[in-house]
Amino acid sequence: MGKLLKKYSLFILLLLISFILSVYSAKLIYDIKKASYENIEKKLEKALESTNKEVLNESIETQGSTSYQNKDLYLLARVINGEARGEPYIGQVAIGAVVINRTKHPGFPKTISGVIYQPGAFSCVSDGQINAKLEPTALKAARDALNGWDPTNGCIYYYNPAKTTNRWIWSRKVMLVIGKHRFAK
Amino acid sequence: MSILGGYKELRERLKSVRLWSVMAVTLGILVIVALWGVNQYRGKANYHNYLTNMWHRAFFDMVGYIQNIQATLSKAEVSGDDRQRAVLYTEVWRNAFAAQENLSQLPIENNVALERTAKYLTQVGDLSFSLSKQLMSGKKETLSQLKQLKKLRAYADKLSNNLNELALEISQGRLRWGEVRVVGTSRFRRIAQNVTSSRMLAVEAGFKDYPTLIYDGPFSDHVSRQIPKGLPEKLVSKEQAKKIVLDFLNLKRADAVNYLGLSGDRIKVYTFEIIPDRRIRDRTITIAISKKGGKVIWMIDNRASSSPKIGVAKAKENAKKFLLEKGFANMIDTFYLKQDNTALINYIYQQNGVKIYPDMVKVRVALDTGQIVGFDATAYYMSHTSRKIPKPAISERQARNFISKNFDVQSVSLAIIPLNSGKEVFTYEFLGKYDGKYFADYINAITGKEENILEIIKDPNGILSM
Repeated sequence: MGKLLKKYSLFILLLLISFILSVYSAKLIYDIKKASYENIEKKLEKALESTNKEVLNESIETQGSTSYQNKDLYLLARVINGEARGEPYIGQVAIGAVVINRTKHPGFPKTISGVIYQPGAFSCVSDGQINAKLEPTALKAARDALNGWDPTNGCIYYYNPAKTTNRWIWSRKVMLVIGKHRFAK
Repeated sequence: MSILGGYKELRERLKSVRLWSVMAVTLGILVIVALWGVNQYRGKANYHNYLTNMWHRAFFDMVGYIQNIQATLSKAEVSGDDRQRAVLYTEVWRNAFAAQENLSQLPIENNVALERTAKYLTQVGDLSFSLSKQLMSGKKETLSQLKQLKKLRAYADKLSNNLNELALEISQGRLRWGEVRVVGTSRFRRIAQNVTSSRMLAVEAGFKDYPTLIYDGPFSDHVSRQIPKGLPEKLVSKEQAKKIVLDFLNLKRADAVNYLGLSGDRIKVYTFEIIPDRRIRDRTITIAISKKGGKVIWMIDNRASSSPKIGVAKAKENAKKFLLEKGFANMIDTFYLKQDNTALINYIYQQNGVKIYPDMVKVRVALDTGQIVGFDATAYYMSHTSRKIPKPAISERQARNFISKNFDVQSVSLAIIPLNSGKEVFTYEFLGKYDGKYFADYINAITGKEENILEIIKDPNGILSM
């Protein structure tokens, strides 16, 4: 009997230690994440400060070659990646085109980030899929969409009939089907 | 074993120190778990408060902006001073866009269902902005414009009344935003389903018989209803379209030709997906043929290009040959962009030396084989028509007087450019430099008005405009 208890107490002790360890590691992960967010803030501060200084010194060197990069490219690529990984290429361009069509439509925000972060607009934004690892094809598809290719020919909605729980969206007229997605007006 | 015996045994065991220690450890774990739970709960409550505060801020700001719209619009109706009205209209424009921005932040289940309210706000702003521009160029509002404004103001009255009621209920704590879901309470959630959302959707229902608005701005209803000018009248069937596809791509046979659907609002198109060869994995060509006229509107070939073997000059040569082959004559290249081992080149139509910017075709050339892997003629078919270009009413020298003295002009030519509202204007195009940056300045060749300024960005990967 006494032997058995000894065995159990060791077990409980191990359980306790592992529990405490897991709590600490969770906290550690949280702290690391927090630190990376702080990084964004620090970087922004630095960028603003340095432009401030440059403006003050009136010493802005005009750059011969501007490395022009569309600020929305990666954001758009992330949405495409989150919503349509594994879909045919053209289906990925189509998701990007829907975002861009919304910015041109009076009923939606006027910027790409405004459209993407509209609450409830894209499921990948609500469930965090938008932060999934970026596949290179998503980036290519985002470029095509930004350059004006629109496989949906002006659609502003889409849904996956197998996944959607939203009844309202079914009332929209379906214009075409690409991969698993239905595109609607 | 009898119950009594069992009890006795338990008492015996309780005396044992080891058992006490086990119980203490268990109790310790419980306390830790409880503390952890409380901590988690507090964290969650913090986030919840933070979000609710953000939403409330967005909502109350929006109500304020909509009240401003209503007040400012009625002031504009009363005011008799043109300059005063121009100022009031810009005020409406600012408030409308701020209101729309805040509206799109609200956690309505199905936020996109607020499309009509958002559309109203966009159009009120857009219309006021175009009216203020009109007043600044010395033209008063027409009778129909005033009528439209009055209608829009009536909507603002209704909207701000409804929202005020809602605001009162929210600030008294009778309504809550229900977006942050508690796992496991789905039944409750259904009962109390997002009270605020359903109330907001009720407000939206007030826009059911909203009028069609036509004015001089990019979000006017006429923009989405434009009729393509460059397509032949004859309608083609799906089967004919399929033939046109294979002709266009110079394919004798393809492993699969899938029909995706008939779509589009301004140009109705049949979309096809072609798999030229099943053995080359993942390569598909998607192509759209207009129902009216049977023209290829756009094409995307997703073949992955390997490292570049040809330069942009050779790519331009290929693209030009391709365009001539497909019946596009008198096209000149303007901007280009190198990305993903391809070059995207923009071509515009030229008529008697005048650049016609609205008639634009985009061609994408793979830089490994020189093959055409992308094509988009939407803009071209929307606007191309045989134009009668007038003689400029002002000379180039006169036009030069309208541009800034700081602008170092390097070349001048005549051009027709599109405006946001879909109209076209005849201009002098001045290309030049200011402060080390390149710009294009467009001066109306009839009135001398400055119509647009573009910044031209030149870098190793291309030339493009902003």
